[in-house]
Amino acid sequence: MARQFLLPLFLLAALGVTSASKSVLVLLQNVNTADKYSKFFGSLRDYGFDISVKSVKDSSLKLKEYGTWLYDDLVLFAPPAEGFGGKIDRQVILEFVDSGHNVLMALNSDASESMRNLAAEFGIDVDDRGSKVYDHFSHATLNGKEDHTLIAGGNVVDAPVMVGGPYKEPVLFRGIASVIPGDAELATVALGAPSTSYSHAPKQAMLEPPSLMVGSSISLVTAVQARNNARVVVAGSLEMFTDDFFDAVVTVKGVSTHTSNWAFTVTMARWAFQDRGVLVASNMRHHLLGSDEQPWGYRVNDDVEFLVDVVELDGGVPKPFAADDIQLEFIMLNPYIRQPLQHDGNGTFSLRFKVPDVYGVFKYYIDYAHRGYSYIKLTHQVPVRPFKHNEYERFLVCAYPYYASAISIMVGFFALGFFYLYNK
Amino acid sequence: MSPVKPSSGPEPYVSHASLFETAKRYLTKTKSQELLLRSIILIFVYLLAFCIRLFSVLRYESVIHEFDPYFNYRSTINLVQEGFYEFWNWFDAESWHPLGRVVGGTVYPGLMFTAAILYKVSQFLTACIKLRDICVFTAPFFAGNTALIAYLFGKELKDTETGLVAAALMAVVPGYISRSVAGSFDNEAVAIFALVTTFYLWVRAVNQGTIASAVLAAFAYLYMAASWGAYVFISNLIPLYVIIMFVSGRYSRRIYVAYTTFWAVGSLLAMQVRFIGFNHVTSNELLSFNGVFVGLQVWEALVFLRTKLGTKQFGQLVYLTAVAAGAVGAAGTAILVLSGKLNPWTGRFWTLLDPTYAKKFIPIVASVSEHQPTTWASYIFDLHVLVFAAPAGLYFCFKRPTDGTIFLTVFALTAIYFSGIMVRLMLVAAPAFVLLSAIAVSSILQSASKELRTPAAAETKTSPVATRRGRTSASNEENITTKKSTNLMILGLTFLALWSYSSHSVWVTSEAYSSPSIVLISGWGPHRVVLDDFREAYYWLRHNTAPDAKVMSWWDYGYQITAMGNRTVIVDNNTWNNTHIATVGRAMASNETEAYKIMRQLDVDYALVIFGGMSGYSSDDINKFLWMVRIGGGVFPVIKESDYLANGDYTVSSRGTQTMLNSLMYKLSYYDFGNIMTEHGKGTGYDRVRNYEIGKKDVQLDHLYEAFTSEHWIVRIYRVKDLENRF
Repeated sequence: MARQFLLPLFLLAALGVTSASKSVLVLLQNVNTADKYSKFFGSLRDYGFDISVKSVKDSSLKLKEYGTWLYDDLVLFAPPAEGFGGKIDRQVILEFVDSGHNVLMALNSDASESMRNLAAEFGIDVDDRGSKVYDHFSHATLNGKEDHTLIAGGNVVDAPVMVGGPYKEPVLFRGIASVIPGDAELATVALGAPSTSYSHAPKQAMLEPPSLMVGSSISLVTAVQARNNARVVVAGSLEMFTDDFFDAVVTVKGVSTHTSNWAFTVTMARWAFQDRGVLVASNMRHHLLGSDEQPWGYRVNDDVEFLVDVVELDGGVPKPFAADDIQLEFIMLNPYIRQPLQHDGNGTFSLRFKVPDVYGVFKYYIDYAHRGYSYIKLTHQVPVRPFKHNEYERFLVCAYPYYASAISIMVGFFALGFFYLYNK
Repeated sequence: MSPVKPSSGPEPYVSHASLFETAKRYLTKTKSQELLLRSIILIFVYLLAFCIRLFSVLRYESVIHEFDPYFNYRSTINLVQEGFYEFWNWFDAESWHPLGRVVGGTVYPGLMFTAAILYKVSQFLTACIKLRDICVFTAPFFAGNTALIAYLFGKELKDTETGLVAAALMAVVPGYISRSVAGSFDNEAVAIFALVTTFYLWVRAVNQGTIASAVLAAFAYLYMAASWGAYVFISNLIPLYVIIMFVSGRYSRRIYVAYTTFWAVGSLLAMQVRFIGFNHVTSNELLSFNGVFVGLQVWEALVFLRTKLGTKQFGQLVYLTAVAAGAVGAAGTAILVLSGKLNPWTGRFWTLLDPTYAKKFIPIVASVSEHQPTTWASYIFDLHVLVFAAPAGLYFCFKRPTDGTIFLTVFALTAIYFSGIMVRLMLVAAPAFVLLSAIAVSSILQSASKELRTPAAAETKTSPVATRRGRTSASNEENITTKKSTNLMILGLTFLALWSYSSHSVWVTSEAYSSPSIVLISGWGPHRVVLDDFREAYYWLRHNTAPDAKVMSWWDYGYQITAMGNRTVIVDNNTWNNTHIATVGRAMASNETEAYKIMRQLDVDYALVIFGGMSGYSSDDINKFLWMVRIGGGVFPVIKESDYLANGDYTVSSRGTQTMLNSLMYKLSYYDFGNIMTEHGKGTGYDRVRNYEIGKKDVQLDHLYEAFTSEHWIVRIYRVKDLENRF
């Protein structure tokens, strides 16, 4: 029980300390190209990230040393890389994620098999090598060159905590398509393709229909939040992170416009590195109305109050969270109570309710999974017992006839006995 | 041991010599000699009854046996630690997760109270006996008490000699020993004592016809009702007896007084047991108990009125009463049944009337081995010579019927019937057989020894007569010698029969009934292997899992896991919720993916199976699996028994069906077993219980992983994984 309360506190403390300088390892295909992403990395540094850039083939690469992770986050900007140097491989990266760390990977149409396999581990299917996303309607013209693979009509998902926005200017994208298979529950589209787009490999013959990846089923940027709240972002375009795209002035459907790439990618990266949209629930407590003590369990039909504090961490700074859609369930096999928690504006969520007239081992259960926010999953077991023998009501009005009959029998028996014995 | 007492010197007025004289004078009286002899015999019988039940403690150790006793032990601990009221209101959150169990209201608390009182008394006497030892020795202790009651019962039925024989027979009757060896801390341990006591006090009440004796019988009935569900047997047998007495014309005021008092006080007392409560009035099972009471009152009222009214008026009154009573009774019954106030006949009850009922309709009742019909062999095994002596006893009962012997006859005949239906009820038949046999044996012994003794006395007495009638004396003498030898032969045969009975009892007790089944021993001498896997596994659970971890296993092991492992279980031996058990059965019978969903819904952290393929332990889960399928299929029709049978055959060999070989139970039992060589000359994965190679050797688990396997692989525990982190 105590564990459940302490864990979020430790988490809070840990986040508070590390957010001062979270270290990020960036792996590039060629270290000399780092300047292409100077604005992106610069912005991240401004947000307090400690960025070290290395070549993907560097033989001294390692994520883990003596059982501790050396980095908090990993950026893979090396789409064609077939493998990694040093002590990094796919298994290590998966372990990295499973222990709560985050990965931002960018691909392009030259993405290698190993990168695609890595993406597949997070529930993202990336299209074949060499394929590109085409759109003959929603493309942009950059520097006077009309390019049907330069997508400018992408749909930024309506989750400001994850992607920022809303953006007036388009997000430029040039790269490979992905889809989220139906059984991948944790992945979500951050930047969707326009409905007129499709994916096609130019060297291959055109299929009819062109590909399975068509229209809005294509995901350009995909966000995954694992069950342990580790985050993975897979962008189909590496170029969208470059200074060129940040500064570009493009013509889309005859209108000249700046791009939103800078804001979008930096927000996305901050989200991926758990710098935004992190919820911490703590101090879960419950008590009978009129008492402050937390009981071992309840009796049926008790009136109880459940409380929990939820804060949102933004850049490592906690602030009270406010939402109307956090539901509390009170479950024994089935939920007997399922109601939204009320919040007081200071981050305390609460619900008063009557324990159902059923005894058993109930559990409080909160499973909050709002897009963009980290999951809140709390369970706490509370037995609900029936009335004790001396807790039933006594001297009920409806039982008076029974009392009367019992007493009259006793009196009658006494009188009859007396009469029988002494009336000779 | 005892400290030397400071010598207080000889008493001033009583010298040793005079004390000796008094004792000598006292002992030379026949009556006091007989009393002394009787007391010595009874003390020895008591000790015998106690000691013969200690094989299990000597062979193994002082442990609680089997399954149900573990719950009783755990409840007793709760009662001793938390006190009476907390036990009375105990809501057990550790069993039947997540439903919980209201233990206080669903338990017969007599056994726990008995053990707790024994413990308190021993504490008060500053005897530091562990609660566990109290529980272990409760059953032998009460067996001794039962033998004493059998003595009193026999005495009440016939005479002192019958009582002594009854006590001796009762002390070692295997049918009773089977449920009362040391460590068998089960309801029956005290309930048989309560049953025999109630019957004894009832017969005494009928013989005396006083209110006080009937009240005493009612208190014994309370103890029975508090101890065992078979109290219903008493409260049906006694009305049956009253009806028989009524029909046979032996009805008397004594019976009226005894029954009416017993009914009133007994009902009130039994209703105080929470588990029984108002069932005692409303239940159909007790209809005859209440009905006979009403009938007796009506009869007595009519008898009373007949003395006051004329014949014609009386006839009219009877007619009116009959019509009114019939109408009101029918209407009342209809209303009660329709409104559900009158409980429907429970399945267990139907089983008693129709032995095939359970097999057809209630798999959960039929799956219990002690609910199986009794075979003839087990009569001989459990009663031995009593089987042959009891009919002789019946003969003696019919020869000189008294109120007491008629009761015994009714008791014996019903008990024999019920024991034929369910093995477990052999326990109830044993006292009846013992008492009947005691009557037979003592009658035979009495007549034989009387014949043996009288000629000698007759010779001296009748010698003048013999001289007067010299003609007959020669043939008379010859007659006497043949009679003597016949009687000697009868005595010898009886002795032989009793001797073989006692040696049989000792043998049965030591061989069959003294295994605690929590520790197993196989092999002999230097090849002896002790299989202590159960406790090993339960202690592993206790020390290596989270305190609130939930363990799913088949219900047989529920009580042991909660008592020894101290972890929450999904189902246990108190099979009160068939649906919940069926859910577990379904999980065990489904494939792993389906089972995982069920297990997650039930918050299961660990799955536990019992597996005998490695050690040859035959009552393992694979052998019980068909019951899981049947019970699961009874509630969830997706589980079909035919899917698990290969052409009607139950097998896990390569002929087994895919459903069978992919079921969770198969996987958990045989995980990694395919790589093991168990017997020389056989292939890998050779199952030593089923005696063939298993059908699928490469068992992969996706949603569980092996957490623990005991030394001889008897207990295997698997951890249920969380959901995948990334998918």
